Amino acid sequence: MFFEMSGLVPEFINYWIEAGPHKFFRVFWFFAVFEFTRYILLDYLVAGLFYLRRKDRANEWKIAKQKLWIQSPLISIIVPGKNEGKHLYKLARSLAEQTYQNFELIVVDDGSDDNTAMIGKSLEKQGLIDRFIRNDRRGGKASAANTALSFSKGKYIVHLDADTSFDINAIENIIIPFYLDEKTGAVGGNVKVRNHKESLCARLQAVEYLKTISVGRIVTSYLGIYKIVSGAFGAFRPEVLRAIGGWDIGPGLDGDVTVKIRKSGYNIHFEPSAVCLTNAPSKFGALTRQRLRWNKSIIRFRLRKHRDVFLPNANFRWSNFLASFENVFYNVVLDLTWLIYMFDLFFHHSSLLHFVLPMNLLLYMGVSYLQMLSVYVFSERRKEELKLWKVIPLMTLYTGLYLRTVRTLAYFKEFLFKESYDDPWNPVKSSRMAKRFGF
Amino acid sequence: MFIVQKHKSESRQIDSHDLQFMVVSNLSDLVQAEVYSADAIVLSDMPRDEACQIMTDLRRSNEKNLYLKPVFVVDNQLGIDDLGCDGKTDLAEFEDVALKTKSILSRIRKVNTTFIPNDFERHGIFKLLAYLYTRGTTLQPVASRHSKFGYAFPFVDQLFSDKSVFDGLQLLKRSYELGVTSSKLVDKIHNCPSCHGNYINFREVCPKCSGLSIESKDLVHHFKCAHVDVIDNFKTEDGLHCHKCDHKLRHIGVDYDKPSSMYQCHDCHHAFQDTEMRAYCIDCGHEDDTNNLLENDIESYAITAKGEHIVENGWSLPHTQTVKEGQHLAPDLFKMMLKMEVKRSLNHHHTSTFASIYFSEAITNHLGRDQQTLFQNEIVEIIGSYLDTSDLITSTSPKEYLLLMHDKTTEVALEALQLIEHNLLKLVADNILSDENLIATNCQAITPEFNSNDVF
Repeated sequence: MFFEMSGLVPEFINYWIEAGPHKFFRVFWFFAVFEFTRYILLDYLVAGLFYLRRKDRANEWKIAKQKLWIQSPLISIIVPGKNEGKHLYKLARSLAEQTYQNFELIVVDDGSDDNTAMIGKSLEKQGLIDRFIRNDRRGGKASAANTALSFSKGKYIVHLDADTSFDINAIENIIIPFYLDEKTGAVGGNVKVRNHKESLCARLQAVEYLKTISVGRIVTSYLGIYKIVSGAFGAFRPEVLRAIGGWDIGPGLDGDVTVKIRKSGYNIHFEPSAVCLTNAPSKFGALTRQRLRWNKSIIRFRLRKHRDVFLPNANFRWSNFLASFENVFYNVVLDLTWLIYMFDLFFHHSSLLHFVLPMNLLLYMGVSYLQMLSVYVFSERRKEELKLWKVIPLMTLYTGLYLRTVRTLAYFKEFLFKESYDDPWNPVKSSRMAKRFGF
Repeated sequence: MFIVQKHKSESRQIDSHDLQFMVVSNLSDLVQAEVYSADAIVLSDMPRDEACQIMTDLRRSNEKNLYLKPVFVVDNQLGIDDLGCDGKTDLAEFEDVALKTKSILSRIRKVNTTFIPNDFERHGIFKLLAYLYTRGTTLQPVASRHSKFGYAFPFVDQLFSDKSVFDGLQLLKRSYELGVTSSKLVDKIHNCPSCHGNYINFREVCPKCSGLSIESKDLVHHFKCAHVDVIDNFKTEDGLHCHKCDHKLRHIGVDYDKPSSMYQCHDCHHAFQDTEMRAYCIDCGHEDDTNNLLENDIESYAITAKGEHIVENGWSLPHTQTVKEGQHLAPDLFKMMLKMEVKRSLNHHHTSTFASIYFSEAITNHLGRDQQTLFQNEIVEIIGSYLDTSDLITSTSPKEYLLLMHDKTTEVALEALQLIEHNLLKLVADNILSDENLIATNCQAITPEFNSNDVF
């Protein structure tokens, strides 16, 4: 097989050289129009601009940092969750190492059925947690986050997942952007995968996170269309959160709350230097379930609940429009377009498939390496992340085939059956009401 | 001391079943001579404080016929259960009371007061043992509002003044440590670390400022919009209303639920779920964390075989009190001392005696492993109480006890050995088995020919 393939290599490259740009574009239009422009041209253009402004940015950062330390406001770190007791001690220890220490740690136990309550109360007694609130009845993550919001006193709210750990200056760095721009309503942290050594599945996600979160969000944030403050690590102005009524029922509540903040006129900032590490699913089964849940929320929130951002009404803002448009277009529309493209490929160019498919793989692999290069430019963990380069050849299959298939399946499930309302991630009592009122 | 207050003719004497009962209804009725000669006292229609005074005077006496005197109360005399009376009577029917009195009196006669320790603690313990012995029962603590400690120990409490609430308990614990009583847990109590009082008010306070003004409020979770807040923020004139999504909350379980509740401190505005529990002592006003309260086990006490032995034979014989520190040796050390004694016999014309006491397996087979250890320790202590301070004892097993009796001829040693054997047999017969052949003794003069290796 290898020798047969190696015999093909020069032939399929020769073929496309001889076929010319017109033919190449006719066959690889999907790649050229949508993917190369968005993920390579735009990313590198923004990266260049970002690089050019580095000195100004550093000065602005320094001033903002001084302001933060002069004010030293109280920050409320809130951690809602169910059955997270096993993570709480490590989380508290990780936060105890932070450079910025004027914070209150509020943990809300959303009806855990394990020993979380016991652990939480114990840590509260030891002073490692400032306030542990036990809800005997599970209400879902949004209700737990809102409970914490009700009892928080900080000038800023930092929302965390319990299984995260942080770079030593992560809390400081996620707050500083509020001092860069008064209109910043929320700041997203840079979430990276901690357990990438566990399995191939985790390694692939580690690369994906670097590409889509670390670099992808730098680009969207720079363009003012950053659309999702990660639930694992995000900071908010509490007055803004309270004005929009806090979090609504999920799944996908982090994206939802970001849109709500954008709609209320505030900007959203991504801060690459506020790094947290989290555990990604290490098996494909768990990953599939997670991604089905995430992708259903795009339909539910972007296209249903917040469809008004696409309408020319009094609250219309181009940045909100583009943020949602980019999200919907590059995920939903292009996924459906990809099906058309595949149909076009197999229907019109079936005799050339032995030239088309290897070239396609080569192009996407090339893009993956170029993207990884941009990650390398931005990352503060370059050395450590060099090991991830080994799995890049597999990224084409992972993102191009596996994730796209899961995503498309999620869209159909949500479009046709509104399955997100049946997700056990939320209690039935909440999902039933959310479905009834179209939330 | 029992003091004669006044001689009045109001006290009554009842003769029944060949016994004399002195019925007392007033403190001033008491006449020492009559109390002394009466077989038992009956308290009738008497105020508590006077009943208390009589019992205290009786129990603090040093005369066994007074401090062990049977005391009964008439049925309608309420509120003195904690004083340790021996029973109730209706003054018409004396049969049960007479039987009990006879039993107590017969056992009082067996109490050997020949050798009573001078120190207060041992004297108190001896009186306690004598009380338990004559009553043939366990000493049960009585929950009592009249005791600062929360529990009264009949008889023992009367030995001490009211202020020394802990002394009675300490005396009981000491008796247990000495192995003369056994105990059984009845209750655990918590006392003020400042005054040891038991009347404590437990208060829930704010964990931040220790303020008392705290109020619990339900949290409400509105299902539709996931809004959560304290119930006050949902309340309107018409009921509950969500200010986040402008909806009325009509039905718990359908529209909303109450996942938990939060306390709010009106002093410092701190919100919390778990209050801090503080203990406030009513007696002395001391306030403390509940973790700092003194925890005490309240136990019932029963006399052990060793205790009975002491009651019947006196606490100790002349010259010796109990096993002295240094008298009970490890077998190796004993062997070394024995060898030295053999060498000493070469140079001096003096006589020391080696003696041994062996218990039959029939005795030790009755005992479990832990009990065997207890048995061994008790026997060592009992044998030691008959020895002079210069004598040495060791035990290699629960069956074997070896003695080195310095400067004693075999005749003198044999005499002591026979006394020991007699009392041990009696002790074993009362508690385990009755058989003349259960214990074997032997004694041998220590001469230069004595081979100390043979005895181990």
